[in-house]
Amino acid sequence: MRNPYLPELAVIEDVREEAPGVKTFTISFKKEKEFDAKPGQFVQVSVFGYGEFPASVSKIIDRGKGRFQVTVRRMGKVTTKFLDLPPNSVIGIRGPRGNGYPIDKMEGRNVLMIAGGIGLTSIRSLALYLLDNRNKYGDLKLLYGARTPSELLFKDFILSEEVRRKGLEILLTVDEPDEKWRGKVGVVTKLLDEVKVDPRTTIVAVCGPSPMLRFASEKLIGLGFSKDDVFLSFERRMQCGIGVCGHCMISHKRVCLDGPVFSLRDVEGVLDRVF
Amino acid sequence: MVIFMKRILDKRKFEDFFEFLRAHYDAIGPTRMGTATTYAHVAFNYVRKIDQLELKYQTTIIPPKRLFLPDNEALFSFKKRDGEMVLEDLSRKWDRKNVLLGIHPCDVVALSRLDKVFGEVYRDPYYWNRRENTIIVALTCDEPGEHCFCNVVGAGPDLEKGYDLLMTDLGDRYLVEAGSELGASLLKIDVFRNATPEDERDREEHLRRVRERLERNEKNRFKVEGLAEVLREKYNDVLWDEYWRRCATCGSCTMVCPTCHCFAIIDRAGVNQVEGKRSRVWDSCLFERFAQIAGGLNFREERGSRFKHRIYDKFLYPVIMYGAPFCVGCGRCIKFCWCGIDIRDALRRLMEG
Repeated sequence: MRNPYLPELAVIEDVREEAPGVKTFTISFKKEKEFDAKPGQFVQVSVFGYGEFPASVSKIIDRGKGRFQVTVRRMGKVTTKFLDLPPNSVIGIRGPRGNGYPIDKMEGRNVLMIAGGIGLTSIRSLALYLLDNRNKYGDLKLLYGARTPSELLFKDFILSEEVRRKGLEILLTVDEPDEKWRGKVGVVTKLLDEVKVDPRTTIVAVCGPSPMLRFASEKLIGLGFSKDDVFLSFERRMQCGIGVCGHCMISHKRVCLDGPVFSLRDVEGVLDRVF
Repeated sequence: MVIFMKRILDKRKFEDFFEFLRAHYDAIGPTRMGTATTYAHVAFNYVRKIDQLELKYQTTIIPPKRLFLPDNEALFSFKKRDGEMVLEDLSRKWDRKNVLLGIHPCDVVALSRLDKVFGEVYRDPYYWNRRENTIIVALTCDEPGEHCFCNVVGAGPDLEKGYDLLMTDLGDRYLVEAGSELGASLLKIDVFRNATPEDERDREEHLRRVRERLERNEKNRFKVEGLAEVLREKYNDVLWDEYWRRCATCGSCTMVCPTCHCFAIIDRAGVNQVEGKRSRVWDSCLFERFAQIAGGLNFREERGSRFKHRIYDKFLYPVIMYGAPFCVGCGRCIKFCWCGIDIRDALRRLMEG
């Protein structure tokens, strides 16, 4: 069996700036291989000599050739170094790891997606999957909030008419508008007041900063959603990525193994701090 | 063919047995460390001569986990060679089989717990390369220490499984039992003679005495039956405040705990950043930034939440995850806590309500 700590060598094929401090990297393996990830799964990205960080797979470009994208925000030591890497740099990849969003459970249901900030990375991968399998799912809605208009990610996606034509309703909001912003202002959970969702037929997927997960959960429960139907993608600092090192534990749950996506039911009654 | 499950090893034959083991295995056992001027203690180490072996010991500071999960271990190296990055897997099998000699029942139980952690979902090659090349010749205790409470958590003084051989000191001889096929085959060698019913009675008596000593210790007068449920209910009990306020979150207890296994993964590279190693080093859930994520949000910022996480990750969470508590009652966390926290006190008072 392969050593689960050993990354596979990969190459950065392309780097694109999404927003200030956020870049999308197209990555392929040095030894061409198949690579697939369920929406919501993550990879451990190695910058040799600096360390490793978990990143959601934001898009699979070519399954057969193992080409995919991660979108990363400059946060700490390792991501800062990573964002400075030019194309052709060699990095390491472990994964995909984690459970991903419950795409099977979503079948035949409406899906409401809520993303805040960099959380759109994993939510967009879910949206892309649902759109690729459009006939299996009901109404699709995406609520997305960023701090400022310039920090909105994946503008080619969230502003795309084609995506809307395929049946994804997208609502945007920003916390701090600039003079050109004509859209909504306020936190993303406020958008829940603007959409019509039926809690009995809708599954919700949420990804964003921890306080947003908490507010969204409270609001969704208030709207009558069952804890079984609200799914949150949690952020923890996974290190081993195989459920051993202890860093990502929420009580007895290991975010890298049992998550990163949990239903509110899964974390009900958990003793440790969840949000 | 006769299969021996229990035989006698006379102490005058012990050296022969030791030499037999040494011929087939590298021996690791309790050895006396320290000099006239440094702290005298017993630690697990390679034993080349029989007089280095210190079988009359109560407990070591560092548990045997360190043999299989070293405090600092290189996982792989990376190097840029002619512009190409090359990774070298540094997981290595031990060249020779090892025998872990004189390990006490609590520490054996702890290893069986770690086996679950490092084997249940992913097989950790670094751990298993050494673990599966190690046979275990365990030894029941003679004199439990004041901090020992294996009897309370069901990890001693007797041992049911997890060993190849289990020795019990009966004064001039050891009663040796086999716990595996390999152990049974070792019992065939001629240093052993057959055990009599009297030998077995002596062993029972020996263990009864040890158990009595453990039970006489008033600190050990608490039960863990139903503890998981009580912990679930009393997470926010004010009782915890008394204990965590004394805790300096120094992490000593986690280092000396035979089942604590948290680690951090770090890269070390030369100044030119073209050559280095990725290692794992022991970490502790008591350390301030253990549960901190990128951007600085810390899910266990308060000392109390870290203190409780450690206790709960011994007595509740592993029961859910692995079906067994991760405390084996070795007492190291009590002995080496310089804040004087005795987990037995907390658990007893919690159970008493």
